[in-house]
Amino acid sequence: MVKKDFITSIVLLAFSLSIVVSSYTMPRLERRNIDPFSAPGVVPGMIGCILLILALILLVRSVRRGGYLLFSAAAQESGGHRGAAWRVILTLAISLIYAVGLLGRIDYTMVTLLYVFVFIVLFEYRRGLPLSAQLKIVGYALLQALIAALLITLVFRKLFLVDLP
Amino acid sequence: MFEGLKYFIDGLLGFMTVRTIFDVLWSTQLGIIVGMLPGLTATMGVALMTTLTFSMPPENAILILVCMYIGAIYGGGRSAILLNIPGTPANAATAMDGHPLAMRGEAGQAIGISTTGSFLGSIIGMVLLAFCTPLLGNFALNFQSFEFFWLAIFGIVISGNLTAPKDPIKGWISGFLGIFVALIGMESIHGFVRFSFGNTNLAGGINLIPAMVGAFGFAEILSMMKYEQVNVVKTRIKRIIPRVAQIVKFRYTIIRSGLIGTLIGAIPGVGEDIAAWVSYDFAKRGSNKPDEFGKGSVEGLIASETGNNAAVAGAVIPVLSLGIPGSAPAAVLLAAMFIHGVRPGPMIMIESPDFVYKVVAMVFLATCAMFILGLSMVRYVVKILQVPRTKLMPIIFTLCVVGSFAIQSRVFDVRVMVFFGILGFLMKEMEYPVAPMILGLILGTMLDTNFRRALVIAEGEILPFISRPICLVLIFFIVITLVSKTKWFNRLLSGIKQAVKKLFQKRGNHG
Repeated sequence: MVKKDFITSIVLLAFSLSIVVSSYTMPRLERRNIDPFSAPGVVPGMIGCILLILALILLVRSVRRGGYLLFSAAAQESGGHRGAAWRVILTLAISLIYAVGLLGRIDYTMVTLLYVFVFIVLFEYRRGLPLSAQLKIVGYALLQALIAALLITLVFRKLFLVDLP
Repeated sequence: MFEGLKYFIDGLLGFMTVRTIFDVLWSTQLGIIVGMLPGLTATMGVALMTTLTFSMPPENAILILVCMYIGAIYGGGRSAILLNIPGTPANAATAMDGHPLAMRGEAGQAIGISTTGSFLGSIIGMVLLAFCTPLLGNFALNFQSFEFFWLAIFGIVISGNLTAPKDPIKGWISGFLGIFVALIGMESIHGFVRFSFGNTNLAGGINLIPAMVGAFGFAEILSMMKYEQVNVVKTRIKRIIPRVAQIVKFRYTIIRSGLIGTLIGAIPGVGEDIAAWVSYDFAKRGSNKPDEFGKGSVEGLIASETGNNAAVAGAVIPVLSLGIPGSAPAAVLLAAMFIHGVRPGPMIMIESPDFVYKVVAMVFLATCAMFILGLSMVRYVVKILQVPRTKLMPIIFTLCVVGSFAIQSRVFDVRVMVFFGILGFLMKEMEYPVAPMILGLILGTMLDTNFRRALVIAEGEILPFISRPICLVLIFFIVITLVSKTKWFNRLLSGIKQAVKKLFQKRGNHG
């Protein structure tokens, strides 16, 4: 965690500095004759300063504990399972393609069907299984995706009168 | 007081229609299922339900949300008992003793005890909600901009401290990041657009519901997919209804946990998980058999479940009286109230006192429904836990998408949800609590407006900020919270304790 803290503290430091700078350069609206204490940059500047101080504390603490030794053996931290990381990346990738890439461009029911189907197949498919078992997984995934997509569309659109993307 | 009772009975009678009872039953049952399923938290359940109840009359919509909230916090105990995975973070302490009980073949008894504990905790919380909301609301009428500024800071500091007990700095960073996010968009005093970088969507600000659905929904999906599926304990669920003698035996634990749960729930942004842990810890310290805790102690199970459900009503106290949420699901409830035109805050006891007692009646109805549904159909409902997460998670994500899109029909909100989902997941991985960030998102506007207004009133002077009596009390608590985890403060505290002990010992010897 020390190594992670070191990295996040640097990111936070840069982020909070940018908040402070942009708050300082924010217009003070003198032309409108407003009270300088009510200028829009006052509170962001204060929050930026607080974040800067907290990030500095985090940085000093992680440096003291050797967090800056990013590539040394002492600072190597167990990164968890490789499989776990892959599962997260895969989930993130297909969810991003669905929510940011395709949604709003293709019909909602269609794209939802596709997403649910791909998700199930990607995580349930096992190469070593006999062909009949593999086909069964794909078939069930398609059936579930079809039911889910139709049901969500119907329930939200017709029952709860909610707009869908 | 009698006026309050009258409002409560009127509210309760007003809800006694077939349609409303039906709404109470289905939403509580849905809440139990949402709570049971790991990956679906109470916050997400209430947020999604806010979308679904958008077109309903305000009272019905808020009733459904309260039922979902209470049902979900209770339902999380089921998966904690049967899977050793808390359905919601509020049920982590439940798993400590609930799962060992299930492993011993006493799953039915564990579910029955957790149901009764949740029911009694919720009733204690409800009574305190009815008594404390008017008191706190009337007291808050003395607040001016100076006090509201300190209250916002206090909320962030204490929430950060309690949600990240190992490393409060991370909790505070999370809270102040939330405040920064709230500052994006058009500010309320001069209408100046901050940090939008020319993007018209950002100029409108970050909506709370998509941010919460992302931080508590999508982030949870990513976390759940990290691990392989865990199997449900294969045990026959026998007797579920608990023995009265067993409940009576732990009456003091129940009352203590109920009071602690409500109090912790009422602290801004802290929530049910901390309430359950603190109740559990107190029960262990006060128990005759502390060794049994963690190995299937009925007392431990009852303490955590009473604590977390009492915190639900506790979290609603500051929502109604101050307009500040006590927990993450209460934050969504607060947002839903605003969406439906209800304006909670110090003025509520003057503008619409009947609404406060209607909420008390809603909590009562939801608690009764939870108790009845919790003790019935257990064997059938737990079958839902056997649905593999590979089949469940894509559906939950599609619900996250719909939930964030539906409030304003903007694809931008879906992107906000995804962004906060990734941010929430990374924060979890780096051990930053998410709840303070959400609290910051709510308190940001309050802090911004009140700080600048107070500066204008005081003509730039700092003295009014530190000389007003309520400000002084809040500053005292902020300082204590900030230094409470430092080594020198703990040394000072233990020194004082030792000195007091010695003083009493001396007196005892003289006597």
